[in-house]
Amino acid sequence: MSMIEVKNVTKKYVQGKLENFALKGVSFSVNLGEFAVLSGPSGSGKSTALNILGSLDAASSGNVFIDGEDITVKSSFELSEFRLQKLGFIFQSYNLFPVLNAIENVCIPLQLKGYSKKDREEMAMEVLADVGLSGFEKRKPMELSGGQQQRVAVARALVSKPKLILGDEPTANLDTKNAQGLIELMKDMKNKYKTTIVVSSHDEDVIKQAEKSIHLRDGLVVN
Amino acid sequence: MLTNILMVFNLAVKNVFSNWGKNKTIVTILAVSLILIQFLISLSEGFGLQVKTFALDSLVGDLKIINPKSRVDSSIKLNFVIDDSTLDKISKIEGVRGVTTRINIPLVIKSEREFKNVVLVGINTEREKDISFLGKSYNPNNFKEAFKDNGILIGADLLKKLKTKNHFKVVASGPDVNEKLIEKAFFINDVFTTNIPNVSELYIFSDIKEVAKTFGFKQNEVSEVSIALVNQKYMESVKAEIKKILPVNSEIFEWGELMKFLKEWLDMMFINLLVFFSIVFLAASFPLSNTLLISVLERVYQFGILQALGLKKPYIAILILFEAIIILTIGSVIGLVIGVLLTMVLNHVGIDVSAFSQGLSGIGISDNLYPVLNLMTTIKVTLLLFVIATVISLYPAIKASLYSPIKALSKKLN
Repeated sequence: MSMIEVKNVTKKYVQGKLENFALKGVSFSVNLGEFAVLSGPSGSGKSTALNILGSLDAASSGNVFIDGEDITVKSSFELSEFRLQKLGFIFQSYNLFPVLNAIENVCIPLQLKGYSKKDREEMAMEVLADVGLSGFEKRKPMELSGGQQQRVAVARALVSKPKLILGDEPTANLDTKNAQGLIELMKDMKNKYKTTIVVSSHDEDVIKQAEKSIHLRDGLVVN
Repeated sequence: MLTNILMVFNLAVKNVFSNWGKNKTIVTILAVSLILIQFLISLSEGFGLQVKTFALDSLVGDLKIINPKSRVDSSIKLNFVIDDSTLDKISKIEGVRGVTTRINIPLVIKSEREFKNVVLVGINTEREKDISFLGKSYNPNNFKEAFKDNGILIGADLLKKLKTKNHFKVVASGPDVNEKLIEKAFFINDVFTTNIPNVSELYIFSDIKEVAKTFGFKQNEVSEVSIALVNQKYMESVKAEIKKILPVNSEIFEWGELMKFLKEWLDMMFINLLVFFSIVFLAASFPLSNTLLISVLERVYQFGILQALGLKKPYIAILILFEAIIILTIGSVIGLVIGVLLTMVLNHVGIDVSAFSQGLSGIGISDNLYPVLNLMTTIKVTLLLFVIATVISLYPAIKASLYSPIKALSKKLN
């Protein structure tokens, strides 16, 4: 059963009279519970595709179905709600809030969903334990290593049990050991939390470990 | 919705204090602005109080009933009749502190060596103490003794000017109501002192009944009725009530109408203050807005993360507004507290303005100014600054909320 269906999606950037196509009618699907990677060299369109899947950017044409919903027809307000209910994000630069400690960063999606303080702290503690960060709850991002910060970001993405987690080059800023650790963690969490994970990466080690690889080049799917 | 607002508020508090290096400058500007505004308000209140007290004490009062023609003609024939029942009705109007009648006779007073133009004021010994400076500068219990046997009460400065002494005789001459020239001997039974300019030289006092008898006034005929109020806010209502029972040939005037130059001077001071406040408001508000705008531009990618996590755009604007409100609140509280304390101290010790006050003594300004705390006005002005600054902060707030998630995320500074 498809979690993601991308149908003939195009993304065009216009600068003056020049048109630049980041995606040229790509189509692919990802099944429920899969760990998929969007791979390709720089400029291939993988980050663009990921941003469109995450509704952070809009396709110029085509349709994107996530969990049966066509996100290309939703309004900005509906997309905010969609991201809150169904998606989780892991960014390349972790993108934690420096003024909040680990548990506060993890709690943000739960707070937006309306969970009480007691419930969200319980859930956040559980997820932080799952990602191996028990005892680090009160530390601020600047007090954590890169690998630890990325684990907090994973915890934040997982805590509200989203249907789909998207990661944009999540291992790019990590050393080999931490990168491997992160991929292992994501696979474990995918199984535990019954979620689908799609990451963009040009790292061969990441591509090898994915259950599905969608290779992009010059805005087209080549496999 | 409430949890979203609480989350955004929590984030705003942490943002403000994590960026305290920049924000403390804004807090300082706001606090100093408020201290300045508070000081100026209390100074102008002190000014106004001195000027109004001068108006009241120098026999003008808060309100005065006179024959309107007497404003341009000093003839003592321009009087009117008012009975005791009308005076009682006036004294019972809400807001009236006291009411008294007077007869004013312009005349020349001569001692053995000098003479001077003065005004003989016949006063009601029971009522006058509640109205003018005489209640403060002179023991009212001594009126009877002072006015006994053609006795008068004169100012220390006049005594000096006439080169005479207490308990000596003086001769006063002036027209009566029939324009017949009267010459009468008076005995200086007592002397009063006051720091109100000119009063000590210009007025001599006697009992109203004696003055009426001497200068041919009929029963209950007076030159003026002076009214003191509990508070200036009763001015309009008391005036309206008195108008319903005004005696024939009389009209009621506010002190500002009778001392126009004083009123205009105060009005001009108020306008200057308004202009100054506007400048201070803008000067305090724009740095806040500017700092917020820079802060917004530096943190755009954060707004992208928040949107990616599911926060709706209006809450981004609310986040920035919360930050502005937190900074404003801290600055306002500090400014208000220091401003109030400063006013209380200066109200106690006074500000020496003798270097500047010489030309202002004619309108009641003394060598020492005592700022007066008007907490309601201060709070209103503080709230106004708060509202203006918050409105000005809407621009960076709205700008922050307009970024799309992808545009915001692309703005991460390295």
